[in-house]
Amino acid sequence: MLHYLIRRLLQTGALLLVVSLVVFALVLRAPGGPSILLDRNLSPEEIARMRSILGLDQQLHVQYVRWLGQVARGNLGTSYQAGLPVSEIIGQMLPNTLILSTAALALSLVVAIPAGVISAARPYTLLDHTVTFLCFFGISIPVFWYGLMLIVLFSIVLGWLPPGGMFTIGAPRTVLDVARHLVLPAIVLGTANMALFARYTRSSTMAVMRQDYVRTARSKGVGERAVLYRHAFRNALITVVTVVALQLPRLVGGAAITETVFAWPGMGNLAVRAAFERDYPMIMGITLVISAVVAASNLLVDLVYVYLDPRIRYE
Amino acid sequence: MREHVMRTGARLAAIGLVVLLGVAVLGRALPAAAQGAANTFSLPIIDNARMWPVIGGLPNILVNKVLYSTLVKYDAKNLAPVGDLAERWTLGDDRLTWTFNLRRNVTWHDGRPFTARDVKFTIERIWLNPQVPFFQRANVGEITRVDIVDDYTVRIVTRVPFATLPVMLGYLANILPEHILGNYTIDQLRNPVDFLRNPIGTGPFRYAEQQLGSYVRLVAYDRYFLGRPKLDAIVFRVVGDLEQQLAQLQTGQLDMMPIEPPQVAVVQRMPNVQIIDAPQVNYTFIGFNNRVEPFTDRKVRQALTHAVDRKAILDKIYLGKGRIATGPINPLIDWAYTDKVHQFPYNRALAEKLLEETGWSKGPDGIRRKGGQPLKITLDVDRGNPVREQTAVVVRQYWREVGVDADVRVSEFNALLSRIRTRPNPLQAWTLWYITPPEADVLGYYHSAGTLNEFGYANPELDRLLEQGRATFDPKARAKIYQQAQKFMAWDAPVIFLVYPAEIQALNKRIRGWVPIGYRDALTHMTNVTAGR
Repeated sequence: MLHYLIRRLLQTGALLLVVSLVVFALVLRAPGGPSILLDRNLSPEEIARMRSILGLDQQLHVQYVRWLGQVARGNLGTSYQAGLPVSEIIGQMLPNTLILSTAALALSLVVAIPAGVISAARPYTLLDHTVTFLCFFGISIPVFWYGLMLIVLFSIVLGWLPPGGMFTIGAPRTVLDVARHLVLPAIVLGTANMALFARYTRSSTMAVMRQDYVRTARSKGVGERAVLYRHAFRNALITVVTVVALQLPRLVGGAAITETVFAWPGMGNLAVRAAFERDYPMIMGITLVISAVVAASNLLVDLVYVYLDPRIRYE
Repeated sequence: MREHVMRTGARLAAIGLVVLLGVAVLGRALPAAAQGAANTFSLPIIDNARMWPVIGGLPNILVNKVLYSTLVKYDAKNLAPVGDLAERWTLGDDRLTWTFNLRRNVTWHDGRPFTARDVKFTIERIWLNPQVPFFQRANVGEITRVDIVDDYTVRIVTRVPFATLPVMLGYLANILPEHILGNYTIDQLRNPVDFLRNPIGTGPFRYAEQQLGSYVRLVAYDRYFLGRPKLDAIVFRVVGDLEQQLAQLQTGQLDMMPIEPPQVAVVQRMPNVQIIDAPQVNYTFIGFNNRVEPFTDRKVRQALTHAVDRKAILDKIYLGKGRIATGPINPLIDWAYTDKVHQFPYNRALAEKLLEETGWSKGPDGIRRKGGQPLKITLDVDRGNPVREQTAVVVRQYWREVGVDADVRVSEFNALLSRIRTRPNPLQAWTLWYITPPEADVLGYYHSAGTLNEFGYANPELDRLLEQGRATFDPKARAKIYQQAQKFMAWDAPVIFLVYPAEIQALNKRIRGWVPIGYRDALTHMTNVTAGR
């Protein structure tokens, strides 16, 4: 087990290195340059000077090695745009993204699991067809359009909720205030997952309902409700849990479109702006943090399997 | 089974009801929050602002306008230079030494007095220091040194006679505090992280808080030298998405935003918002690469200008908000501007005639050729700005009508600007805009040695006029020189001067006292602005 762990950690390190190298090369080779070098009043001499100060006049591999050395010393660099340390900015944005993603995930589970179970219990009925239709609707609806429609309805027409942002500026910072700002983006972000989870819940519940032990339970005279919840549902959940676990890295990465549409100050929004502005240190910092979280969560899931299923052994 | 499903369905419906009720309760809990906060003015920025006026970028520029001051600013009516930190100024007999008398009642936001030392420090240690990048260096590069006469008097010396100096000192040239930054190393001055976390200026609003990705809030500075602003606070909200900006405008979270013509109809339907067509010192253009064929030939440039119906572009694309441009000097610079220049009305026949005269003759396919080479022009434009994108498409059509094999290439703004800046410039033609200081001096853009001359334009006659204009102090004589320069440039057509567009501002009706000029300049006149309920 220890050997396995060490091997996996080394693999993870190598993976992060490769990811960072590929992203670095792609980003620095992309057309255009950092926005701070593109002010219309900057003379070519000034641009050259700034490039030199930022080290952008050096060869790509030199720049990469320098960046790597910096990261090894625990420094992700300074954002070109904000002028502040990348780690400080990510440190402020990450919790915001976690709040949004967690709320969206919770919302999607609360709705999706009962919907999926109901669908499975009454397959091919009107109810099932309705849930299925809503699921496909949720999966296929374009996020930006959906977001805008909710803004129009709840913010502009009804005036119930703010259209965007995370705080009421100048007002005391309360949970209620953040919650009000959270409702619309969480619904939008949660909808797609909601649909996905409902579909998985439905299919896995249906599969379990066809199992022999379910038939046995029924033949013993166990009530339908007990069959569904005590025997079938728990087993069906294993698939759902796996699907949910696969979505976990997204909690950190943020949802670029939802965050942009709702001006939510999170990682997705940050990544979009950084890409537009060619804020190289920021892009690299975000990439590294997200990759590290994905790798770590994968490793964690693999380790958890050992405890969940005694048949699994890593050598 | 059926009963169970019904029960679960009922539960689901109940959950849905609770969620909806929750939304409603949350909404009712703070009903006023969606409206603008009392006596606070808010406007959008597309990204975090770096409150360090040495680095460019619109978010930075906007915030720094109210946080810091300049020696000179522009009059709210005619944009003439008037005192800001400087009370008045005089020019010495050598025409190189300017004496600036500074205001005595100015304090930094930490309470310390503003003095001549701050001016000397900012200019010599930052603006003129080649080790520190400064985005406006091209404007002030003629300054050689600053001498302190006393605490409230400085002498600024220029290398050559530089009539434009007062205007340039008002253009994004914020003065910084010596008592804080004086001991900073070069590395720290390049990016003073500690200072960015608590920036200290002399402007009407002082820094209060920044929530990265959300907003920057500045509050009224009680000891502002022109009196405490009537507003309590200004908030710059970070909103990158245009639709979200419009939604926030409608719900009152934003009080002002500049809009493009396609959004006018939407904003007109918002009962709480008015539209202002604000004049701004700017112009839009189709740039030519004057160093490559066919643009090396004046007649071709003239033909391509005659081929374009700028009146139609103004009326249809800009919705008539602006006027047809006659040169790089905006009519707001009224002392220098003249429209008595060659006008280039839309004239397809004349355009074709001029092209024939230069040897570009139409082939059987309708495309003009010279020496077997087709007259092929690629017009570059940036993605996302509806006015420029539509202009490019329309111009392509106009050019095709006179036998040019014209094409439009759309790329990201960032990528387009990088290509224009490449030397030699690989592009043929492109459409962009310029916002300039309120000055007739366009030497930087059109002089053969101009640092911002992206057109590769070089003409000794114009060089001479522009140099003369910069070194002439008598207003009448200057005006005459620049009128000559405008006539020359109009005729020589180094670019197609398209439109002097008004800046279309959407302003919440609760705002009073807003100065109806371009919002960058309006932000330097915020002391009398108020925001009602």
